[in-house]
Amino acid sequence: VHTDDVTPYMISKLVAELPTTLVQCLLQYMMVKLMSGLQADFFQFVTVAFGLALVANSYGMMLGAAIPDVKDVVEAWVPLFAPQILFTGLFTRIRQIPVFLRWAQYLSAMSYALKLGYYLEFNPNQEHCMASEEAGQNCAGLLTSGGPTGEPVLWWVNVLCLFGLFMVARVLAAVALTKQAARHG
Amino acid sequence: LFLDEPTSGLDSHNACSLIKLLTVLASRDSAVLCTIHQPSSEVFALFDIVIFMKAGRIFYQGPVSKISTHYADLDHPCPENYNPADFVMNLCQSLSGDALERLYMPVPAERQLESASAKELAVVKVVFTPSSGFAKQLAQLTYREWVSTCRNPQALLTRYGVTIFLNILYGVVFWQIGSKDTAESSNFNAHVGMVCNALVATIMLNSQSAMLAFPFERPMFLREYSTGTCKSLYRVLLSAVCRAGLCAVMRL
Repeated sequence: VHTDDVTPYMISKLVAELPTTLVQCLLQYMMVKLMSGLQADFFQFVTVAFGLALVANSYGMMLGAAIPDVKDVVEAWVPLFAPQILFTGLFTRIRQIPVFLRWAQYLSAMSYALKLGYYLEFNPNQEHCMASEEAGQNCAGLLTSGGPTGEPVLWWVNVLCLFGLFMVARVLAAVALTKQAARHG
Repeated sequence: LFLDEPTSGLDSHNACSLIKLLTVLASRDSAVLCTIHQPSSEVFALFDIVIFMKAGRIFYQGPVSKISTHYADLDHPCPENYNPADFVMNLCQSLSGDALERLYMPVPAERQLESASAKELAVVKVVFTPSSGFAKQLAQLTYREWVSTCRNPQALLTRYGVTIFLNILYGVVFWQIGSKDTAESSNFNAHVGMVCNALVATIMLNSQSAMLAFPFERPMFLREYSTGTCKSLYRVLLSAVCRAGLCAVMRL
């Protein structure tokens, strides 16, 4: 196929990965729902997971586009994805991370998806959170400043941030491909 | 499409099938050029234009259908029911001297690049412009991606198989944790852990496929792209808007 810019190529990759990724997310969360008893609305949770999956896919594409050797890509995967989990506040609260490093939490797609996941699963309107006063306190505590993520949840901000990361990763992948193609030509 | 002896090693039936496939491509506005060695008369008749070369010079260039009349006009008629490819090959091997020289095709003066100086040749730059519009490129590339996905069901099955395995493991560990009393801190912590692990699994499972597949697909893109010259950033931004629309639709 004779192509004059990277756009049709990038869109075609996205169109091809949309159904396979969606099926994968549906499959995964169907199992989570059935086996682990996920309380959130199934389709809302799958939508969050689908957004996260597309960002993860974009990060993968960005690495694959920028680094020619697959072995080097695998090496580069660790420093890109390990901080995703580190800066979610899962193992340490954000306020315990040194101030000069805290900005990195805003680059963590996992952090945004986790906040959305908490919002859906531990919303005070969920039946399990309304079962008793203690349950309500636990749920509310997770969603406010006392929660491990360290900030109250604004769901639409997190959606926008996830979308922003998706865009940035795709554009960077396109730019990396364009630069290399220019050298190749 | 440039092919170097694509029928080598094929039997006559498969060779003919391959060239028929190339004629389909050619009929869809693709330029197909290939070298071929001792084609059968059936295969040879499928070509539109042929160039016979001898010692770096053009012996014949033109439509396959005109070979017989061309050589009949030069007092070398092709015998009836004879493979024209074999006829021309025999002709250029059996003749010599002036008889052979007379059969070479003249090269027009404007095509004689070898007479240009090295400096002039250095500035000769072939500029390719795509004949297909954006929509056609997108349709073709999307179709190719889809065919590529369908041709490799093993990769898809492995991906889904790993997803099933990992989630069975998580499901057993966090068995019905969401249905347990959230008031108890141990249940609540495990419930939070279940959500975290599910999302960590999502990011792990989905980054690998693109990351590992892309370096192998990239050379093909670079080859295709390097024949183009337009590197428009506005189209990248336009595609970003398209993706925004797609994401919005998916959310609904």
